[in-house]
Amino acid sequence: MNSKTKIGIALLIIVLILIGILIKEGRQTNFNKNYQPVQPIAFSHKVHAGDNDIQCLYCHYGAEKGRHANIPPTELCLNCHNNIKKDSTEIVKIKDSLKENRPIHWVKVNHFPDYAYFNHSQHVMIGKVSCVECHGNIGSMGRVKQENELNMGMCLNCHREKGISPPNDHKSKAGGDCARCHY
Amino acid sequence: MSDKNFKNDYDAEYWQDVENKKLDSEYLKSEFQENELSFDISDSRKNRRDFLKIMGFSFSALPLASCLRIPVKKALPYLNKSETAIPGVANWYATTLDPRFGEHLLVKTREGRPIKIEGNPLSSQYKGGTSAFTQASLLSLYDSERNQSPQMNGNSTSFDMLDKSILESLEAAVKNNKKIFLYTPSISSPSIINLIKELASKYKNFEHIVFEPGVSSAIVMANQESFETSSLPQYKFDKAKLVLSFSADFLGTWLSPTEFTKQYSSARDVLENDNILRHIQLEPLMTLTGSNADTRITMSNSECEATLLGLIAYIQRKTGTQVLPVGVALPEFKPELIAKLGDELLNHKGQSLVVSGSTNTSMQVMVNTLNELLGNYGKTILNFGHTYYVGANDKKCEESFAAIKQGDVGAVFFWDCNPIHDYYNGKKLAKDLESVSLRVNYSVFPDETSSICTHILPTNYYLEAWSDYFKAPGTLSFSQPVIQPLFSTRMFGESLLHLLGKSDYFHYLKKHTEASFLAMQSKHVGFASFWDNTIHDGVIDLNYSSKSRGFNKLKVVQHFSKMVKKSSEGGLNFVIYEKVSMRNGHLANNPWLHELPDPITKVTWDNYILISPQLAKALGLKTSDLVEISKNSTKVNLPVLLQPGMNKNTIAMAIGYGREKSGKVGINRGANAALFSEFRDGDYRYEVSNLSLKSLGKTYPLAQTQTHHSMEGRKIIRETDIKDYVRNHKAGNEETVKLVSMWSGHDKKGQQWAMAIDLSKCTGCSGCIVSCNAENNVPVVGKDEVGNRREMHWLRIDRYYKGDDENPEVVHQPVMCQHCDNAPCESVCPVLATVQSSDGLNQQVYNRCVGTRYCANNCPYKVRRFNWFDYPHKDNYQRMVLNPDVTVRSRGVMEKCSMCIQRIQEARLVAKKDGREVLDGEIKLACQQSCPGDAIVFGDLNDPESKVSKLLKHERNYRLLEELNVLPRVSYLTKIRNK
Repeated sequence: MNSKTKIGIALLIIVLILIGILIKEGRQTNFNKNYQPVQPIAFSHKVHAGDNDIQCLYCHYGAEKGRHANIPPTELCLNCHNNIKKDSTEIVKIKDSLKENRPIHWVKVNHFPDYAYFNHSQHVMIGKVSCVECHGNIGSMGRVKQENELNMGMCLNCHREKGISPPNDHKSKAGGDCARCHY
Repeated sequence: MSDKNFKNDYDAEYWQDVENKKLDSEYLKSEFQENELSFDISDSRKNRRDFLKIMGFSFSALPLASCLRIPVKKALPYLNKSETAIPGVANWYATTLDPRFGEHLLVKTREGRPIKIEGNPLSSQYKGGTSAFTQASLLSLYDSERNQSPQMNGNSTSFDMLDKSILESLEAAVKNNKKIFLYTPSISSPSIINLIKELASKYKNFEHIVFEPGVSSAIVMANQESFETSSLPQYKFDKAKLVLSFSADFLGTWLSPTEFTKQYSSARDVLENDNILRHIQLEPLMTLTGSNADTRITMSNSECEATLLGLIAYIQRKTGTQVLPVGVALPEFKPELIAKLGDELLNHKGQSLVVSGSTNTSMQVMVNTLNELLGNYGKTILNFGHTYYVGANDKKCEESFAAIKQGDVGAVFFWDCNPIHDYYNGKKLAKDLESVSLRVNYSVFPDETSSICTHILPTNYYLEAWSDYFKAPGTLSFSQPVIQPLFSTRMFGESLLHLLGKSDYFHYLKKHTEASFLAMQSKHVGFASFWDNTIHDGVIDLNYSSKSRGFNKLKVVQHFSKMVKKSSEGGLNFVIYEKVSMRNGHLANNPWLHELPDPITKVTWDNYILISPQLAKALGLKTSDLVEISKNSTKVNLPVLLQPGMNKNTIAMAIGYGREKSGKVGINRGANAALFSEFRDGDYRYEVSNLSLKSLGKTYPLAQTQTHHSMEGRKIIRETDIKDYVRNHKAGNEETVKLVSMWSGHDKKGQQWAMAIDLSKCTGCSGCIVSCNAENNVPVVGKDEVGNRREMHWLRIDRYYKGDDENPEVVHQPVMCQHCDNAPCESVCPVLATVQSSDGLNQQVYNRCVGTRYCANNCPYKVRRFNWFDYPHKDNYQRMVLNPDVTVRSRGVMEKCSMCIQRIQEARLVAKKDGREVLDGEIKLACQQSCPGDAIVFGDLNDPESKVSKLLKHERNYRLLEELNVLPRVSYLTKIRNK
């Protein structure tokens, strides 16, 4: 084997490895798993939902009413924090935001692509899916992290388990048609 | 396919294209020739090197991209919790678009943004229907080229400064004994009418002048003469068994088309009643209404007038009631026709309705006379004489313009009208107005009139404003703001109050409503309850009755002699008409309206000269040939369009185009027809004679959405006459095909969606198309792309002609994705991006689609639309109109009608939350909801009680291209005429 052939084989292997990486990475759809961004306010879900056992729906009341599990209005924080820890630097940030009429720029943790429709209330109210099934044990997280992949495979696994047919029976739990989510 | 297949009796009957009426195989082949396109598509083509560069870059970018996170996104919560606004949940508000154009409405808002307009089902008049114009009016809210801030002499300023300056100038005008004019369109808002009255009593020399050229002014003037009331009555087409219309486009543009379409369709519903309404239309050009008529006779305007006079004479002779002067000889005109029409009318005394679209007051007086002779008042025409309407008075208007010329005027105010463009001598008026020191403009959009004004006070769009409206027979409705004003604008009522030294129009409106209308109803006790409930419902029917007024015969005599004396017409007759989409050009900067194909001509983005095929042949013209039309010194260059059913000596042109001051969408599109209108015998006339037409030897391409129109010998349209239908419900729909399938068929369990479209009820008004655009984020592609046959509308309305081209019969057929059970598109998709759902819908999955376009090529109905480009949604205002529940499709993706799957899913969710099944009729698709004819029915075919399953079993039901055995879920009901 001359050196040219050796270089050729080495190059081929490198190219194959690159293609392999490309295929593997290119197919991957869970880039955001374990995403744990720093938030403008050091809000701890562990303290609120874990230690103090505040119900998720107290703040994220939209989750049982509509499509979005809303981030709570700033005013809602002060329902408690008008009395509790009212002088902490983080709470002062909230009060200032309200005073200055400037919403807090939270960093979005869970992204959902535009071409898929997800309705929280459908899952919470009809599917009786608990929040932690998708979002992980939020009550143990200081800073919130994306615990699961939140990709189509994850959706479908659950939809299959919960029964896909009969399709339109109001008692049924889930559906398997593309246009359940993609429209 | 052999040529033999193209030639059968069926083809000889139906045709669609004037120049190619004779179907030869050469022409049919040309359908698929790309070089037939008159639009340049070369710059959209990339060469091979570009392709390699782009591919190389994308390929190397893929692994890079896969290592990156999606960019950081921010989520901003509300500061204060709103009681009503829950993110992701729509709120609905009732409001009203001025009855000049619109209806009683419901507006869907998401996160505070209006994203869809629907008809208010509580409205006893419009019953939930909306027009294309109303649907499109939503987009103009987000027009970033609206008047955005108050201006004085071209500089931005504040409303306070403007108010001060205006009041000072007004005082000066009063002191110098100069006149003050306020120009508005017709007003049906009781509170604004009252405010203007207060202004008139505060300022001497103040005069309110309604500038609204067109048919409404002639009708109002005629009612003034016949009944001494300048109001509009309520017409009841559903109470009539015979409608005789002299060029009144009452299904398209005449007075209140949505209301009339509702009535008309219900009166022609053969499922309810065998004795359906019969409609006769006499007109010079093919209007939408004429295209729906059972009997349509093409005649020029003067022939229409002669027919009307003949009819009156005939009926007074038969009934012995003398209204016309004795002994005057009538022009002898088609006595057999008149006898035939006259006998039909006499057979329907009190059950007929005669209407006219003429801008000639004399003609309208004669129409009133005929209705009076037939005893139609109180039966098919209701409630005259309410005072909550101020209509146009063309004579007063003309006098005011003369006063401006003489320099007697100290101040002019313009609200929502554009005389510089819509007046025949607008340029000269602009010059004369220079002598008026105070020129104030209240308008939403910049226009020719605002451009010559010294003070511009932008008004709120109707979706941002409070207002009240009164409509005969006694319906009160309100507009309420559904969004905070987007720009620095102020309601017109508020500005009027400031002229009176007061403020707070909302408070004024409430007080005025309490004083005027609380006593007229017994539904609610106390004003608080009345107000809250009426604002919530949007509309209330009052116990209102006006005293009946006697018919004034004396005036008829004057008008009669005026009409008989008419000088003979020469040259070409010219008619100015309103297009169903553009109407009078009020929303000239609205791309949805521009891209909406005209229901008859199927042309988008332009106006043109309509010309009969016979005249075109004589002059050697064909569609798209540029011509110059002129009268005296007025000249306009426009392309011609051959229109079957035109009177051969009449040409026509749509108003609302040729805007010189507008946004980038509306500016310099087409030409201004108002230049040819005339002031004649006290009216602004849209019927003009003595025009000349000259070919320029050039062409100007028109973007039509339908250019090849043959049915290729297939029974796509099935129709019959009521007499045959009564004998045999299957008449016209006898043909059945024996089908063999290689598929075993889908499992049809649970809910299975289906749609039925009643061709008898569809008038072709095109409201559904714009409604679909708004609901499904359908992009606007522009004229060139429409010309390249790349329009994106999910729903189209095919128009077919039948019979001779001098006076053809017309059929309208809405076609959207047919949701086939054996869908040909599904079997050719290499990536399974289009598949059948378990409830029978053909789903298009955008994120799977790679854009091979195989599906579109294999679709026999041509309903699939491909995104050739990323149609921009960059305008920060305009993008607010997007429906957040529907994906915005990107380039390279196929799309098509989804049967508003988002609405189905939403209704399902609501039903599931309530623990029940979805009810029949609970899901209303966007097209179905807005349809003023109730032609579209959607529901579950597995439910034997559902409306749609009953229609599917009906003898009239048929499916398009049944012989292909693709088993569409959309089916049609045969068209029934009443000849």
